[in-house]
Amino acid sequence: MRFFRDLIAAFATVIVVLVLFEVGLRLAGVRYESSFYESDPVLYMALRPRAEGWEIKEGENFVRINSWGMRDEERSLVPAPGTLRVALLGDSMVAAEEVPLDKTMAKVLESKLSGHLGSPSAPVEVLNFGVGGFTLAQEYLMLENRVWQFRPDIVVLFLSPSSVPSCSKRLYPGNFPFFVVSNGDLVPDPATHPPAGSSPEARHEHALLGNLMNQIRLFQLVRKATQDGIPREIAQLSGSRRRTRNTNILNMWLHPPASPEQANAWQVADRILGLMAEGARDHGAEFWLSAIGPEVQDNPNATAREAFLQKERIKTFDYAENRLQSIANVHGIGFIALEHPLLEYAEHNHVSLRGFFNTRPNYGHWNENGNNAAATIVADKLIEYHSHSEPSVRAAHKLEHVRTNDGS
Amino acid sequence: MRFLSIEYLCLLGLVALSIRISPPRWRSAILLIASYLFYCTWNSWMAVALFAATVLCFLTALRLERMRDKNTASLFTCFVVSTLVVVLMFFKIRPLFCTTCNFIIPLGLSYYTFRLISYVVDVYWAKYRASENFTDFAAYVAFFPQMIAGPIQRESSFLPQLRESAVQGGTIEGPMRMALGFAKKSIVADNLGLFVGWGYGHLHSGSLLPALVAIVLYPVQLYMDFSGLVDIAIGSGLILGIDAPENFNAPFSAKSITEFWRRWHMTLTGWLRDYVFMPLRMLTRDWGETGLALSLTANMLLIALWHGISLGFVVYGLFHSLFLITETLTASRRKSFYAANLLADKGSAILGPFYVFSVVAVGSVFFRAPSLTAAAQTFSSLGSGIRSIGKDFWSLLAPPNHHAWVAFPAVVLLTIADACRRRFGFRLPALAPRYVRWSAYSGVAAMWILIAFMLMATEKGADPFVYALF
Repeated sequence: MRFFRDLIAAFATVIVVLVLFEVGLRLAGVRYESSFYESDPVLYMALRPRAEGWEIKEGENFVRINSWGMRDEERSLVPAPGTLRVALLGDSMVAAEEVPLDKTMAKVLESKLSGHLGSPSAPVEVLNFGVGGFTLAQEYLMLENRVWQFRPDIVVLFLSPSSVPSCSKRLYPGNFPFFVVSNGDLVPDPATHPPAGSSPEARHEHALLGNLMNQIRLFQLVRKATQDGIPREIAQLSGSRRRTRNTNILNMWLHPPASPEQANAWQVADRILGLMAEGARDHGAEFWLSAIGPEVQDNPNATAREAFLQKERIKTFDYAENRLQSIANVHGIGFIALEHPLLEYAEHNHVSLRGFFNTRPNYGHWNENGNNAAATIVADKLIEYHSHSEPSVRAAHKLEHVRTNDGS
Repeated sequence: MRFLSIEYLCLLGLVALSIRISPPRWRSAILLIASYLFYCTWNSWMAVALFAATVLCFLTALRLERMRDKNTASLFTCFVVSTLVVVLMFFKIRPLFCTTCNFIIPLGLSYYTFRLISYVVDVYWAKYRASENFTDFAAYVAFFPQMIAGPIQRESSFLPQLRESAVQGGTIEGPMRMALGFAKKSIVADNLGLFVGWGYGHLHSGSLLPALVAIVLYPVQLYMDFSGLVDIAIGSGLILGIDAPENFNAPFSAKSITEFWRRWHMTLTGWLRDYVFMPLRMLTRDWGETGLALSLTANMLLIALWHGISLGFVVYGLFHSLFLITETLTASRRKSFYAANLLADKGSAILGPFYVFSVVAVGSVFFRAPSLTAAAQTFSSLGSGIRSIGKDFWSLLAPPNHHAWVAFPAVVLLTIADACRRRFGFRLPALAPRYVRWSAYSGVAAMWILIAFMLMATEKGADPFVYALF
C-alpha cells in the first residue's frame, strides 16, 4: 500500500513539473511550430481543416485554416450571384502563413480588385488555395479536385523555383504525386502511392492529435525536439550534412536544362500547365500564370544580386520566367510577370520584400511588403485586362457556361 | 562543447554514472579523461598546452618541497609564476596588436592559470603540501565544469574531495542548481540582453529611454548571466561529487562598493586579495593611506583588466577603485558617525543597495560600451529629454523584444529562489521519507528531460554567456 502511495506522490510531482513548464512556456511566450497538415489520398498532403496555431519560423503569426482546408476565411462553396471569384494556386508563397490573414497577397488582392472590378452587388472574392510545399502536380490535382467546385472565374497559378524540378521524382525526391509521359500521354506515375494515414479514420485521428498538439506547448516542444533536434544532433555528431534539393531548384530556374532529367521535368511541367489551361477553358474560367523567383531576384541590394549573377555566371535571372511565358503563350494562358515589377517596387519604396524580425533581411518568404507588392502587381494586371468588361456581363456569361455544362 | 547543450548534458550524465559505479580510486582518472575530452572538443592543441602547463607546475611544486635554499626556491617560484603570467598576458594583449587576426584563445586560460599559480605559490609558502598524485592534480587543473567561468577553486578544497571514499549527494542539489542557472540565463539574461542591445542600438532615437534601459538593465543581465553560468558549473560539480566555493552572494544587497566586491565574483576577488593585494599591501605598508590607495587601485585595475585590455576596462577599474578608496579611507569616521546617529545608520542600510546599484550601473557602461566614445554617448543620451519617449517605448517592446518582458517577473522569482537556496539549500534531508525522495527524484528527472528537449528544440542554441568570453 505504501509503495503505491509513494508511487502516486512521485507521479503527482511529475504532473506538477509538467504543468509548471507548460505555464512557464506560455508566460515566457515560448512557441513552437504548429501542425497544419494532414495526409490526403489525392493530394498526398493538404492543409488540415480548422487547424490553428502559430507560425514562428519566419515572423510570428497565428494561422487559422478554414473548414475547406484553405489558409483563408470561411468561404461558401457556391458564390453569391454576380460574385467575381479568383482562385490563387501555389505553394507557401501564396499560403503566406508568415503574415496575418488580412496582409496576405490573396486578401490584399481581394481588396484591390473590389475597388475596381467589384461593386456591392457584384463582390470580388479571392480564394487562397496555396499550400506550403506544394509541387506543380499537387497544384494541378488541387485545381481538378477542389478548386472547380468553388466555381472561380479566374485562376492564377504562382510557380516558384521548385515547381519545375518537382515534376521529376529524381530531381525532387519525396513522397509527392508525380506524372510521367507515357505513349505521348501524361499519366500518374504508377510507382507513387498516397502516404499511409490518408484513410478517413487515420485523418480523423491525426486531426484530433494535431489539434491537441497545437494547443499544448509541451507536446509541441517534444515534437520539435524529436523531429528536428535529435536528427540534427545525430547529424552533428556524425559530421554528416543534410542533403538538399536546392542545387536542382536553383540550377533549373537560372539555366537551361543540363541533363535529360531536367529536360524531362520541363516537358512534364509544360504538359501539366497545358492540362490546367484546358481544364480552365472547360470550366469557363480565365487561367493566369505567374512566376516567383528566388529570394535574391527581388533583393533590393544591387551588390548582392550582382554577386549572385557573377557566381552563377549568368547575365539575368530571367531564364525560367521567359520559358514559362513561352509555355503560357503556347497554351493560351495569360502571364503576369512578377519579378521585375517586384524589384522595382522594392527599390522604389526602399523596402525589403522578404525577411522578418527573426530572420535575415531579404531572405525566405514574402513579408507584408512582399505580399502587398505582389498583390498590387497582380491586381494591376487583372484590372487592366478586365477594365472593359462589366460585372453583370461576366455573371451572365458564367451562368450561361454553367447551364451549358450542367445540360440544363 | 557549450554548457547549454545536449552534448554537455550527455557527458555530465555519463561521467556522473561512471564515478558512481566505479571504484573510488578511478574517480580522478575518469574526471581527467572527461575534462580533456571536453577540452578537445574546443581545440586539441590547446589541450596539449594545458597538459604542458599542468606537468610544469606539478613538477615545480614537487621540486619546491625538496629545495632547502630559500632564495633558489623563491627564484624558481618567480620564474614559473612569471612564465604563466606572461602566457596569460600574451593572449590577453594580443588582440590589441592584431585586431583582424583570427587566433584562438585557450579555453579557460585565466581560470587554470590562476589555479596553477595559487598551487605553486601555496606550496612555496608551505601553506599546502605538493600533490604526489599527478592524476589528481591534473583532474583538479582541468576540471571541466569549472573550465569556462570558474569558480576558481583552490587545491586545498578540491583535492581532498577526490580522495573521499564515496561521492556525496549531489543527485538533487546538483541538477536543481543547474536548473536555476539555466533559468537565470535563458529566461532573464537572454531577454534582458535584448533590451540592453536595443538600448545601445537606439541611443540617437531622441529620448533618454534607450540610455536608461541600457544603463539600468545591463548590470542585472550581467549578474544573471554570470551567476547562471556559475550555478551550472557548481551544479555540475555537485553531480560529480565536487563541492565548489560560491562565487556570488546577493551582490546587489550590498550597502557599499567594498561589500559589493566581497559578494561579486568572490573566488576571483579572493584570489587577487591573497596573491596580489595582500603582498602589495605588505610592500606598501609603510606608505600609510597612500599605500592602501595604491594597493586597492592596483587590485581593482587587475580585476578590470582581467576582462580584457581596453581603455574602457581601465576606466571601469579606476571608477570602482575611486569608490573603494573613498569608502576605505572614510570607514572609521563613517562608523563613528553612524554609531552616534541611529536614524542615519538605518537610512544608510536602506539606501545602501540603491547607491551600490547606481554606482555599478554607471560603471558597467564602461564595461559594456565598445569604446569610451560610445560610453560618453550613452551618458550624453541621458540628457535627450522625453519628447519621443512614447515612440521609443513601443519600439522597445516591438519584436523581437515582445516577449522579453518576462525577464522582469522572472528576476523577482529567481532572486527569491536563489535566496531560498542560500538559506535552506536544495539538499534532501538525510532521513527524508521515501515518498519525498521519490517525488524529488522524479520531479528533477522530469524537469531535466524537458530542459534537454528545450535545448534540442532550439536550432541556434542558447546565446553565448557574456563571461565565457573572459
